[in-house]
Amino acid sequence: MKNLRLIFEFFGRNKIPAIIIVITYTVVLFFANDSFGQYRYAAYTRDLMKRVETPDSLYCMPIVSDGDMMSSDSADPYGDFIDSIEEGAKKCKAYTPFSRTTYLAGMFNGTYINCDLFTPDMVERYALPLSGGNWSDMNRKNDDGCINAIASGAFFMNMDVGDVAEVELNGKGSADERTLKFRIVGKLAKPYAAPFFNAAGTEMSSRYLYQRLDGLILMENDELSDALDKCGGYISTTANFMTAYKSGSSQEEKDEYLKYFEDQFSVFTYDELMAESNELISRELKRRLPIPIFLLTITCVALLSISVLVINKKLREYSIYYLCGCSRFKSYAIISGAITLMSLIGGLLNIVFMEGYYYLTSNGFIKGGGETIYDGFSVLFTVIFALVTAFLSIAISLLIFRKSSPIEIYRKYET
Amino acid sequence: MKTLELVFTRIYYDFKQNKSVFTVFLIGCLLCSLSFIFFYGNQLSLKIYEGSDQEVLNEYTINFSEPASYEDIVNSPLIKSDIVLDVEIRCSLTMDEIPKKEMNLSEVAEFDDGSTIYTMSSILYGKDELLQEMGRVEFTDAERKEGKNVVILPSAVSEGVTYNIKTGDKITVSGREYEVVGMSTMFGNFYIPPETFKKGGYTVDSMEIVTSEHMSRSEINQFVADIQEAFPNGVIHHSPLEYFEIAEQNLSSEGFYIICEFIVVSLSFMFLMKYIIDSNNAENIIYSMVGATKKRIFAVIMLENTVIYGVVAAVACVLHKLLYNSFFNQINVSPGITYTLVDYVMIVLAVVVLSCIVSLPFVFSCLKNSIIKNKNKYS
Repeated sequence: MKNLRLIFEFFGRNKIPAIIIVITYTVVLFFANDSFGQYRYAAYTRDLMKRVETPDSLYCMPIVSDGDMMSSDSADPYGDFIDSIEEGAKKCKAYTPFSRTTYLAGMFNGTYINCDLFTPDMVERYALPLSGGNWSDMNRKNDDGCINAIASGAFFMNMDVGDVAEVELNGKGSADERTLKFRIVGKLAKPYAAPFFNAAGTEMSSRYLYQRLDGLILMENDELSDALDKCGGYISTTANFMTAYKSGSSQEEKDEYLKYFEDQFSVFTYDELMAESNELISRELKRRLPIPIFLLTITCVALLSISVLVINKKLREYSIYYLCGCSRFKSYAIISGAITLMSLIGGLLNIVFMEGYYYLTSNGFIKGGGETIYDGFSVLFTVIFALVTAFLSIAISLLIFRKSSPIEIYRKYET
Repeated sequence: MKTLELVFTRIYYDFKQNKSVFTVFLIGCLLCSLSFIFFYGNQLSLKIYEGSDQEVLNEYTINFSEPASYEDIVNSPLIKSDIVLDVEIRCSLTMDEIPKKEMNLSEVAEFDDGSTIYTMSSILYGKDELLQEMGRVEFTDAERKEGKNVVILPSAVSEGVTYNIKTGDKITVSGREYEVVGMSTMFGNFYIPPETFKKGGYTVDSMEIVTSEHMSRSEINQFVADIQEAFPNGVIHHSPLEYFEIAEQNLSSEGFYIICEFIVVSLSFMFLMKYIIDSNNAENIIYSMVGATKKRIFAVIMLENTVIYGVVAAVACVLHKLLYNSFFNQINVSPGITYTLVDYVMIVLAVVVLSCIVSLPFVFSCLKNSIIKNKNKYS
C-alpha cells in the first residue's frame, strides 16, 4: 500500500503532463490498432479465399434491374433470377452448383440477426475456421426437433456448443410458429467472416466477398425446408454468386462455361480475384500503416520525455529517500512502476475496448465496423508496445537517475 | 542584436544546465517538425492532387456550342500531339434514335434541345479502355479499320433498363443496324469504331480528351488555353482544375486538422520547455530586478522558443529532403508527392508560429508570479 502511494506520489506535481500523455497514448494506440486491424482483415479474407476457393472458381456479377425485381410477384426475385441463370448453366459440361448468399432475417434476444443458408456443397466448401464445435455436426440428427446451426458474432458469445438458441424468423405465421430452435454445433472464429459475395456490388476483392456475419449459418436440408414451410419464413438471395469449373473439364468445356456467363454479365476468374485482392492489400499497407507508425514513434518519445521530466523534478525527493535509508533498488522500482503505469493505462483501455468491440458494434453502440480484426495478436501487440515504451522510458530515466550519487544530487539542489 | 546574443547564450546555458532534458526536447521538436512535414504532404488535397496519378486528373470534357465535324477533331494538331493519349467523341441521340424497345425503356429524360443522356460515342485511338459488363469492350483491328456496324452497349445497371439482347444480336440505333459485341459500365454511351462514326455522318457535340501524362497545375492551365485556342466553339465543361479548386476550398479545414495534430503531438514536449524555463527562472528574476519589464522577458523567452523551433524545423526539412527518396517517399500515403522550396519555407514558418502558440500558456505560467514572490521562491 505504502509503495502504491509512493508510485502515485511520483505524479504529485506532474498530474497534467501525465494525464495528457495517457490520453495521447490511448488515442494513438487505438488509432494504430484500428489501422492494423483493417489491414489484417484484408489480408485475412485474401487467405480465406485462397483456402476455400479453387483456381477453377468464377465470380459472377449478374446485371439485375432493381426496378424489375421490386415489381416481381416472387417472394425471392433475385433467387428466381439466379435459378434461371443456373438452369442455363446446367447445359454446359463444366457446370458446378452455384454458391450464393441466401439468408433469412430473424430476431434473437430482441436483436435482428441474419441466418445464412448454406447448401450441403457450401458446407463442405466453406468450412470456415471455428472457435468451437465441428462443421461435420451440421449433418447430425436431433431427436428434439432442433435444427443444427453454426453461430457467428457477438450475440452468441455467451452460448456454448450444444446450447439451443430460439430465433423468431420473419415470416407469415404467428410468433410461436415462426420461432425455431437451433442447436449450436459450432462457433465461427473471429473476425466472423462468412461468404457474402458483396451482395450486388461491383467490388471484387476478397474483403468484400467475405464479410462479418452476426447470426447463424444453417444447412439447407429437408428438415430445414419443412420447418421453413411451416413458419413461412422469407428467404432472400443477393445477386452476385460464385461457381467453378467442374474438375477434369477440358479447356473447351471451360471456355464454353465462361462464355455462357460473359455473354450475359461480368465474370471474374480466381486469378483476377486474387490479383485484385493482392492489390487492395498493398494499397491498404501503403495507406493505413505509415501514419499510425509515425504517431506511435512520436508517442513513444513523448512518454520518454515526460518520464525524463518527472525524474528530473523528483531527483531531490529521491535523494532524500535514499539518504533516509531507502535502497536504490526500491527507488528504481517506484520510478519503474510509475512510468509503466502511464503506458499500461493506455494499453489496458485499448485491450478493454478491443475485447468489447464485437459486442459494441453488433449491438449498435458503435456505428460501422466489421472489416477489422481484434484478436489475441492485437492484444499481444498492445501489451508489447506498452512494455517496450515503458522499458525504454525507464531505462533512459534510470540512466539520468544513476548519473549522480544521492548526496551529489542533494548538494546540487540545496546550494 | 544584443537581444539575439542573449537568446543564444540562454540556449547554450539551457543545454549546459539540463543536457538530458534539453536533448529530449530537441528530439521531440524534430519529430514534431517531421510529422508536420509528413501531414502537410499527405493530408492536404492540394499537395495530393499535384502528385496524383489518378485518371480523372488527366481528363478534359469539351462541349461544342455548334456541332463539330469528325474531320475537324481528327485533323486538329492538338489532338494529334503526343500529350493526348486518347479522345472520346460523342454525338447526342434524340428520343427517336434510341432503341427503346430493346432496352425496355418506357421513358427517357429529354433536354430542351431534344437531346437525351444517350450518345453515340467513339474512342479515336482505342487506348482509353472501357470496363466490361458483358461480352467485348474493345473493337478488333478489322472492325476499326473497315468501320463495321458493331456496337458496345451502355450499362444496364440503371433504373428502368433491362436488355433483351445478347452478344451477336442486332440492334437499331439512330436508324442504323448494329451487331452487339458487348456492354460497358458507362451509362448512356453506345460505342462504335471511329471509322463507323465517320461513315455514319455523326457530328461531335462533345468530346473527352485524356492526356498521356500527369501535368502540373501551370501545365494544366496552359493545356486548357491550348484547347480553347484549337476549338474556339468548345466550352470546357470539365478539367482537372476543378479538383484543384475544390482542394483550395478544403484547404482551411484540412489545414486546421494538421494544426490540431501538431498541437497534440507537441504538447507533451512543451512540458520539457516549461521545465527548462522554470529551472532558469532565477535568471529571469535578476532581469526583472535590474529593470527588464515582464513584456521584455516574455519576448526573450518567445524568441528563444522561435530560434529553437526555427532551427529544428529547418534541420527537419533538410533531413526530409536528404532522406526523401530512400525513406520518406516510401511511407507517403499517396504517390508522387513532391515538396518544393516554397513548401519547406512555409513549413518552417508554420512550425515556428504554431510552436509559439502552443508554448504561450507554458510561458505565461512561468511568468505569472510577481518579482518579489519569485525572489522569495528562488532565494
